[in-house]
Amino acid sequence: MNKPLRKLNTQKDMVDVQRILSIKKNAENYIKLIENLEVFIPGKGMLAGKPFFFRTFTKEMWLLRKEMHYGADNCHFPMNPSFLQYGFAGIMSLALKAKEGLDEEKSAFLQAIIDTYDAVCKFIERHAEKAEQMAFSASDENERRRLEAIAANCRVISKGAPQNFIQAVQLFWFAWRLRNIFFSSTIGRLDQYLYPFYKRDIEIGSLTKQEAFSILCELWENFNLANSGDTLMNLMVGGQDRQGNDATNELSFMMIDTALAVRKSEPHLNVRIHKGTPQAFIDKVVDLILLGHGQGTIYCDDHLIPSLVNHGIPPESARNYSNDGCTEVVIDGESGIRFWQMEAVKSLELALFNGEENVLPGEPVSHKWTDKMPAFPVKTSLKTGYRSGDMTRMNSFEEVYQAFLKQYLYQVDVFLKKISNAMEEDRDNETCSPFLAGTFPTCISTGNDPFRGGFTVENYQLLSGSIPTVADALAAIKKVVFDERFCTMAELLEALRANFEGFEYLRQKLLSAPKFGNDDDYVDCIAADIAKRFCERVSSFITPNGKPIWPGIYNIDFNMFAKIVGATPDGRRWKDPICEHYSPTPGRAKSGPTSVIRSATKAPLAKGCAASPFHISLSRSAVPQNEKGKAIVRSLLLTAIELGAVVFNIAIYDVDVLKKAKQNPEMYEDVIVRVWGFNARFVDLSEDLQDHIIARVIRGSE
Amino acid sequence: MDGMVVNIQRFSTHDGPGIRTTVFFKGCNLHCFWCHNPESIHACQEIQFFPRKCIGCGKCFEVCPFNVHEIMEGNRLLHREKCSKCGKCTKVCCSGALVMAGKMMTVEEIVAEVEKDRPFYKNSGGGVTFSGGEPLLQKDFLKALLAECKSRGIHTAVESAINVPWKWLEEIQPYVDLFLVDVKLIDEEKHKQVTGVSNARILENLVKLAEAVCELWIRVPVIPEVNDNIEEIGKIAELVKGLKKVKLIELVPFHGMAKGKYESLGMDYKAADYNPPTDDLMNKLNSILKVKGFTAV
Repeated sequence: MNKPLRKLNTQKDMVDVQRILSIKKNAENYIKLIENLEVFIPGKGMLAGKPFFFRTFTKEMWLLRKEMHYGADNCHFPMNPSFLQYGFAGIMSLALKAKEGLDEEKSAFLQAIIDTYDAVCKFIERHAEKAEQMAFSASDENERRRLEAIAANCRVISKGAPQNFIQAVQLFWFAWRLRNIFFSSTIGRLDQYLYPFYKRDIEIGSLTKQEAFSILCELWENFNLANSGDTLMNLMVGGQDRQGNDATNELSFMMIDTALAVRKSEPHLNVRIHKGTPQAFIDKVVDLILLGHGQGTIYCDDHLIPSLVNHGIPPESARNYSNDGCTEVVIDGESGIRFWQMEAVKSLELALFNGEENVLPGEPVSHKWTDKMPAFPVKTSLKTGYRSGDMTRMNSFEEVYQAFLKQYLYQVDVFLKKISNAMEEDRDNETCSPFLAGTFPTCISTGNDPFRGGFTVENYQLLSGSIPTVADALAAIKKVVFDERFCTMAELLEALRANFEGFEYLRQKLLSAPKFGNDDDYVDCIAADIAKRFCERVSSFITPNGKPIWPGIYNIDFNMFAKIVGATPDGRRWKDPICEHYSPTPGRAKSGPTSVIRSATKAPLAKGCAASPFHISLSRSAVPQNEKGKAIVRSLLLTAIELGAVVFNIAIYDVDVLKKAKQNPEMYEDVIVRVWGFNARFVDLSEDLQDHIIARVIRGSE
Repeated sequence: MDGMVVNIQRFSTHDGPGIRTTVFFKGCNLHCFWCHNPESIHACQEIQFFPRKCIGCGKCFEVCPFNVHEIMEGNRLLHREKCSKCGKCTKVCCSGALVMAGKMMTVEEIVAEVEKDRPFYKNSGGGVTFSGGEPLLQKDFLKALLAECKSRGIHTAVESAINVPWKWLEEIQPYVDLFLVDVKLIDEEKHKQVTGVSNARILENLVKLAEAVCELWIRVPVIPEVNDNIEEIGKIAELVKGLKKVKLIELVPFHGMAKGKYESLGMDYKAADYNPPTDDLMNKLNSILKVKGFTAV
């Protein structure tokens, strides 16, 4: 990234030469890339545009990849769907008009968008040309008509706005694919974006439901060809419109049907439910959940929207939320997202050892995202050296708890300052990919980069880390050290330093203390209190520009962080799993899913407006794929919402199948599971993650 | 009032409609050789030992007044003949290797546990099921629990072999929304051989129960060499048809997963070598029920 040599003044009349250069370079690189992309017409179906380019990259394009700078576009949020309304050519006209009278930087910014979209339109036009050529030499009448239709659609959208549903889908597909050809990105409220086209076509009789379904299936297959796994391809259906009316529409239903028909990991479907959601839609969602893939993550408007409003987001925008690449909340078409993760269990370790890390037994730690990728070294991002107190001198649980909070909230404060600085840095120094920026109407009308006003809602988040595992550890201290006086804090710390070697009896004692996820207030209330304090600390922090930082009770890299935390007082050894989000630590929920839901909903989850999800992993034997299974899923879903759940995911696994899939992956390639904020093919995951997911299946749910 | 309970299981989906909490009573007056819950057969508390969970800490040795625990040639032994079931070892065992099966609980304690899932009952048409063992053997305790749950508007179900005096069933009936009754065999001699008791009283009670107000579900455990054939299932279907009220018979296949439980109790598992009925056989038997006019489950 082109960083300036000195900190900038942010007044509008100061021009940053570096930024302008960066903007121009962004556009140049984009255009070079698009000009060299392969033009692809499929052998069947209606959607032009290659799902996956890497195999046809030249060496020059690979080199170009390193120079690409996306800036504000980290692909973790949806594009604004304005290109469906105007077409890229239409946005170019708007940008040209808006350019008049603007300063040099804004002018350069808009020109970059115009130039990039010009290349995009030409790229789409090349598809029209190729399809026309293929039609000309087609031997079959049907084939000729198909190719001519593809060509016609591409011609229209290369020159202006899409005129019908198929053209809208075609344009969305091109846009999504071109946003970042090296990766994939968030899809957003696609049912809302496409509905006006669908509705009109159905009404005038130019489209049948079967045709629409067929196109969506093709789009889904394309998404799966593009990428699979941690792809950020989140699609949100249902929910309210900006005025608070129910926005669930026929496409919301149809997209779920598409997921049920295609049965692959992409896109990851998310569902917004509110008081006004039709029962028939809830039944449809239940069908999707019953499939077992962990598809259909539920978002509860009635809890989330008020919380977003409390954080200063205007109600109309709050009602238009969707989710990012994982589970975090974004405002659809109005915000980007940047997030940072706290390490809660590591904070506990620092508190236990008065600001120092526990010594890990064994070799330096490395981590792999998947078995195919290279390993990299891992270390904590927390600050060591903050003295929260010598725990060996503490005489009550209350003292220990306060020391933990002191350490944890100190680390939270460090992050909040970091985020605060990042907000300023972004605003002063960052530039954005012109492709993405041009989709945001405010960027076009004002000439402002997303970080300088183009995003109408700023979205900076701090995620809490694994609070339930921390609560397990604190509850074990309370029970074993203070209630039962079985050992002293000093003895406990000695056992932790030894990774419990030679301390197995103590470890078992600690393991048998109350654990989160079993509806036991003893531990659940500790977790709820930590969650509440975290959210309140983050929400009350005042940033220099007055915009809030959003708290989330969440943890993305639990798998990685488990490797850098030593043994903990809950009986966990080094590298044993820690939990994800506000779910129980794997293996510890033994009283079924109703207990997990009860445990989780004791916390004020809605305070975590960035997302406060929990996972329910059920055994297939308890939830068969029939009417009975449907009734069970429906009850769990509705009750979870009633009890205060904000975001949750229900997956259903046959543990035997998962274990067999580990042994014989080639025979189980179609097994899809939920990981942390996405779905993936089980056989693609690292062994650690596979074991984590198997251990997640709640006991007492057989 | 209190009673001996072996387990309270939340999220029960096979013990009546909806999502339920099932309370398993300890003590049974049948001795079906295939029983899936052997820890509920004997009325008194008993020690369960799971050697795989033993971490060899030796605390049970230290506290046992009767030298019940021993290691011989690397094997962990339990001399049950010396054991007084005082439970001291289960209190010091942290790994779950030594566990006391059965606990006295009061009506208040049980109802408090049942109340926890009330929101789930409401949304699923669920409630509480009293099972076991044989819940009717602790009739007064059961009645108090049923009355309390009913007064709180919780749907109540009782899972029973109904091998008890009719007037006991009559007494609890006003508080029961649903009875779940197992029928194993029609032939009395055979019934005695495999369960230890005659089925005469059971069948008499069944007829009377069918005329009562509460709902009645019939379940048939399908056990190899006992009733896993068309003839036996057909006979049961005929009998149940005669009850008129019952529309649904659920066939529950035998599974061998209880083996570990028998070993943990030091009990002999006569069904150790039995295999579960095949899917094919279960389909055949279910189609007999369909032919006789019953809804398939």
